[in-house]
Amino acid sequence: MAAEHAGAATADALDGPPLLLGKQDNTTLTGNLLAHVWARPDTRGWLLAFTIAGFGSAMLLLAITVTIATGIGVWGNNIPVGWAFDITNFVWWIGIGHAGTLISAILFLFQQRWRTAINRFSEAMTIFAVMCAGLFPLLHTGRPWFAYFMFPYPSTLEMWPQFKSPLIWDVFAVSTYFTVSLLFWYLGLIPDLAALRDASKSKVQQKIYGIFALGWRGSGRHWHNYKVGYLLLAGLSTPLVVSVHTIVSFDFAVSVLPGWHTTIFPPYFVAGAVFSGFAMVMSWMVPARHFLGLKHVITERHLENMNKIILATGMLVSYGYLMEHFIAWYSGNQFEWFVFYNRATGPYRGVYYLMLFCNVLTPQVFWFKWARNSIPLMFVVSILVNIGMWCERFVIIVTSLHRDFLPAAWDMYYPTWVDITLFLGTIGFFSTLFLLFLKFIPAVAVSEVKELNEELQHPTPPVTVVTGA
Amino acid sequence: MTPTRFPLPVLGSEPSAALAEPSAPALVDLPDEASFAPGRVVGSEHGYDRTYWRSVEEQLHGDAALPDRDREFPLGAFDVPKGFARRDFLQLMGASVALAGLTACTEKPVERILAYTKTPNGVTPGNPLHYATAISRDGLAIGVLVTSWEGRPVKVEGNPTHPLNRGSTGPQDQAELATLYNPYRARVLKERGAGRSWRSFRESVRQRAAAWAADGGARLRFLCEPSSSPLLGSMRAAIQQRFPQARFHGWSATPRDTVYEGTRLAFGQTLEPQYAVEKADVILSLDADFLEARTTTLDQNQAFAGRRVPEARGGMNRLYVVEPRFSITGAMADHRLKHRSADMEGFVLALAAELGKTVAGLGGYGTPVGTPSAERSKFIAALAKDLSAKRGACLVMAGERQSAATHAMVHAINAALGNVGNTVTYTPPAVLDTATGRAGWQPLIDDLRAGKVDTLVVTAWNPVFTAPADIELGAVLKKVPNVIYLGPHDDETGAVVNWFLPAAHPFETWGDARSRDGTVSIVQPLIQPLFGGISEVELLGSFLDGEERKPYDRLRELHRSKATGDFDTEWESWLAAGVVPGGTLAAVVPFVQSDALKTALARLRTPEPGLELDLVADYKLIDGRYALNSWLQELPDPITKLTWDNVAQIGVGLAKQLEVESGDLLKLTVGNRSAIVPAWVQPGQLDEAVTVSIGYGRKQETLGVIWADEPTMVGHDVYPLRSAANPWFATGLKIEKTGKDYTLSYTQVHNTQDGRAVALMQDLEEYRQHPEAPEYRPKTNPLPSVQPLIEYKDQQYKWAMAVDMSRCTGCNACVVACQAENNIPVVGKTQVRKGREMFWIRLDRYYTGDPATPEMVSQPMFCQHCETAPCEYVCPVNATVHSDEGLNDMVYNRCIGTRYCSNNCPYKVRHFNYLHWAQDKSQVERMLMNPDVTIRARGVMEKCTYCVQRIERTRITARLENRTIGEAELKTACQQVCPTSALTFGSLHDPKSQVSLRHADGRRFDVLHELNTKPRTVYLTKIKNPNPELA
Repeated sequence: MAAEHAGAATADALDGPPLLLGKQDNTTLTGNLLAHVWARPDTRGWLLAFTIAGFGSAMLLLAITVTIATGIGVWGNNIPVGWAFDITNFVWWIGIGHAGTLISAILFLFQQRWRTAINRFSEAMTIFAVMCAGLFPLLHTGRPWFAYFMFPYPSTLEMWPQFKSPLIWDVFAVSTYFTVSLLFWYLGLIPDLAALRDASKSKVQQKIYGIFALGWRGSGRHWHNYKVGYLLLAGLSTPLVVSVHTIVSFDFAVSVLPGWHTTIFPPYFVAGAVFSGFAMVMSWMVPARHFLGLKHVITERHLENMNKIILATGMLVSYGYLMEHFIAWYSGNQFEWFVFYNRATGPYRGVYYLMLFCNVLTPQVFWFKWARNSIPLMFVVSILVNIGMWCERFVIIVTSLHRDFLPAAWDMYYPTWVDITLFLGTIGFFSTLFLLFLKFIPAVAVSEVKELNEELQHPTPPVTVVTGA
Repeated sequence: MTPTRFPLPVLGSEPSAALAEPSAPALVDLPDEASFAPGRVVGSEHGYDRTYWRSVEEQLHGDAALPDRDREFPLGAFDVPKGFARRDFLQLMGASVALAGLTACTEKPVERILAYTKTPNGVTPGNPLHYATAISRDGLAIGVLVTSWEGRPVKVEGNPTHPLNRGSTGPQDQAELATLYNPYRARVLKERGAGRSWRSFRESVRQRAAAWAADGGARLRFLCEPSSSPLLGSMRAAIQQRFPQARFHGWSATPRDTVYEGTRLAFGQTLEPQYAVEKADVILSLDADFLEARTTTLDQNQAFAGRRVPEARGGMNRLYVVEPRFSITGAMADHRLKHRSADMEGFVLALAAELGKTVAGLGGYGTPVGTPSAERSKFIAALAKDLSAKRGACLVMAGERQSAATHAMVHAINAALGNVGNTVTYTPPAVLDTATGRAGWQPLIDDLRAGKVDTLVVTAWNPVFTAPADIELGAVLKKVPNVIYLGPHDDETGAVVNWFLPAAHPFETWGDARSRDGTVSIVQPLIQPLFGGISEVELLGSFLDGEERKPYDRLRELHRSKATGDFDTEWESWLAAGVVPGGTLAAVVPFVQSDALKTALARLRTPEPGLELDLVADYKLIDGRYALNSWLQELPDPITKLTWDNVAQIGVGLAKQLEVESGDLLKLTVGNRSAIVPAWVQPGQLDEAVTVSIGYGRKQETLGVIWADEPTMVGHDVYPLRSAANPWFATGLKIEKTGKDYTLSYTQVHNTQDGRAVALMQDLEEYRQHPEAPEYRPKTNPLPSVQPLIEYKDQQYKWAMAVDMSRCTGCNACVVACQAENNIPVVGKTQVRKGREMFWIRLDRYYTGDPATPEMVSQPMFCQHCETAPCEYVCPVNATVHSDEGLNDMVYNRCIGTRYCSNNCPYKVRHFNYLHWAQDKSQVERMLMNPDVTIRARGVMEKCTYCVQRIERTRITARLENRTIGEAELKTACQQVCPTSALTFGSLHDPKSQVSLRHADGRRFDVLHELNTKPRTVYLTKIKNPNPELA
């Protein structure tokens, strides 16, 4: 078995399965990694998926139109539940975006080789997820046409945003995150775009890819600048992985509401974000590697590593739940304790138990190696984790709001068809973007895989550490 | 059916100009100039001094000549912007294609504005005027001041100089303007459905008058709304003089007959008891809901509340209540005994027997019927001891629903306890109609059935709807040759009459009225009749001989004799003050005719045991006359917190036994009459009785309105359960479950405090011994804060409020006053159910104790104007900010509607415009808006502002006079209306102000003080004064 692997020379019992399958060289890699871009667009599976996703996007457009034309009243929100599906979806999508940056930036800085095959993929997901997320802060305002009030623009009224508000921090955090993620992704794309340009089968393709390739010729100087730029952006992105969801968690932690007003929120939200982000990448990667013929570059090694991260972040999230409940009890604050009691016994307890099942119990299967390597199982787990993380945001937002301090003000929240359509619509929109991405851009960073292939075939000798005399 | 035009308000020193009168008689309905009068097209739109018309119909009746009748439910009830129509969608899509750049080509709809060409005397545009007038309920009046903007009344407030209500008003009085501006008021005078002019109506009366003159009016009858108006009294007398055989009968769905019958039984004469609640140390209410802020009980509210605080002069009073349902008064009681209405006579006899042991003059009234429960015996023993210890300073009251015998016994007990002359005095009744129940109308019904009547004039409100089922009034009326009905809406009664006359609102006509104590007030019109309504004075005038005379002239002539000096001068001073001096009724000292009373009591029968049906007047719609008033429909019931519906209130035990839950549709059957009503499990309700309020379930088909999408949302009519014999309660009630559910909308889902220290309540003794307890009552806020501390020293004012929960009854007056003052929209039943009601004041109601016998505490909750407000720092756009004087201001223009402020408000007192509630308002409804307050757009947060518009208006006045604002001149709308003075507002920089005193009171506590929000609105603990013997 080892003989088949390109990286067999460095294979180690502890290393697990190889990162690349089969004997690959630059030509084969160029060929099979770009193949799905050149495939005819009427590939039946793709077309079917695109139709469904496109329908979802159309429904999203409908729901947005209805919301803007009639008012937030078409949703189920009320007083006391001022935020519900809207902000739940926002936090969920923002969280999903986290895997991309983590993989592309942090794992890059830690020189994790296994990131190479999946970073393009997950970065694209980051960008699309943030686009979906970004819809909600805009839509959830009662008067979205005045949402520009949130930007510090030079106004004749000399009015500025309120910098004490976490919502303003959100505006900056999310927009920065989106910009940097987009740049990072695009920078990494340039060599591949040039490869696409060079391999184009028509003039039009060549022109378009050529424009986006920014005149990349693959010279040493280009590569040097590229590497420096990439490293810098990776460094820039790294704090963002932590900061964005920290700031999103401030939307809640800065308030006085029991169930929101918690110091554990920043780390707990970041862990949850990575957790859900990896689950989402997994949910898409499993079918994508199958249908796009990428099994040789996205190997079981990648999947297993991701499962390990899901397990680790799942444990962090579980710890967050545990501490939340413990502190609520330990603080002796009756309002705080009631919120958690109400989550477990109140009218939304179903969502709460679903959350616990999906986020705490489900990832535990990854303690077992067979489970980490079972593709159907990991697909199911990843879907469940996505559901669980959505439930977590719903539980945090709605159950805290619907029964807060004064019992006379308590009420219930029930979603309307517009709420549900908006949510499912964003999934459709996300899928649409993602399918388009798969259609026009290589899903795997070809140049990086080639580089990895070189490294695996010509490994640098291990560094000998000399200690003492 | 938005009216495209309506008469402009009349301004000027000649208010009578409002009523243009015909000058020459005309025999046929031709569109001559004369029929422009109450018929009535007023003003011209397209030219000066000329009216152009397209058809005879339009000329006669204006746009009102439309085929439809009024709507069942008020505008705004169900027509909230909902969904998103296909057309709108296509329009929008089309527009986005047609796109920008073309926007400059839009043609705006033409909207006319009219300027004063000549400003009337006394009017400064932008400064409102206040006119004194009166509002009557059951014929009894209170004085009110109506704020009028350039001739447009927008706010009702109590008249502080009126001796009865002294500035306070109740919820219905506050909502009166929503009735005035209801666009579905009747507009067309009709004969059998065909439009006619006022002139032709008068002509038809004139023609019949010859026949009446011949037989002395033997076949002429009047069915009247109870009234105390001296003018109407004099006109009735004049009609009686002209047609001696004509008869006037009273009609009311909420008759006060038993009050008068009770005095007749006890004293042998018809008298009005006048209670001096402020003098009573111990009060017993036998189902007397005297703390409901009804127009007729406002003085008792004030008097009671004055003795409801520990520091009250004479000590705190003690209230015992015996009643089947959980009423406002019951909720304020120190001791409450659940008791069937049917057994009330037994209770009062048992009490008399117990009192008779120590008090002279109460022996021999008979033995109580039935076997009393141990609970009742204990209650009566303690109560009797308490009453006899406070002879001359206690008070027993019986409710209007109770029998005459109960009332008579109550009078006897009061007399024996020496209360007469102290806590209760008796005067002749101020009302003209002391028999408005069966005693009043049964002779008429008999005559109608016997065919002895050819003309019946109905001025009572909608008797066909409110009539007990067993007299079948609708069928009876159809057989009468000529029925004339003067009503505000072409309703159930309008459908069966020959002549329907649209009634003018009391704010549109001249008139007069008396209060319970006899005080006479002149009713001034605030506006010209909006829809050409006719007043009762005009109607009765058409039955008098001679020229038609203006009500104004009749009124002046009647009162001319009361002037001691120059009439015109005095008349104007009466109008300005709202009170005509010298009307107060002198007290008489009656003596109990015990022998006659004993004979009457001996005839009492033992009531049947079992389940009892209790019908009660609704806390909002009363008898149904406010069913089209959207403010009152949406107002949460003070006890159940239900909106838009009535329910069968069922005790906790009975509900368990029947396995019934709130919202189950029940079939209630008494005898052979039945009605379908949704169930409501009500803590504190007697298990042997089911209480339902009347006035709901106006029939759609009668009104010609079909609510196709929400056909079940009109409440349920329980008048079919009423019998002529006893309109209020009946034994032998049977309950069947229909197996169907009904959707109810209520504003409070959770009913207890869950062990949280939110609305504090203490017993008097406990408070005396530990004034500092409960421990969670902080005097200061020692907690550190990350928000900058502001001392508020440099400003002139430091606005604050204080709510004395000991005084608050939860009557709802403040909620409606706030709605009227601040243009708060009505959102409809569906939206209330979604939790989107907009009332800035939420009356939180918490039960404590056993659900079968709970205590209740009412806590008005509105923006607390926290000094360190959690809402402010989370707003991303600075839309909610703090003012220098400590107000938490809402900047509507800046608000983008993130709702974060509401999420972060621990009191949840902010309300969000989820939809554009104010859109599609008709022009008439727009007249109701207070021009000092912005109409909020869709997507904007709003909340209590401490009536900032009032602060600023007062500030302008004070600044012009170079002085500071005095405490008395500035009142918030809720404070102004409060019948119990539970709310105070003012500046904390004035150490002597009421609000400062309350802030320094030992009972003060800050709600959720542990959050360190430093609220400017503070609360005073509710104190109860229980009898230790019943503890």
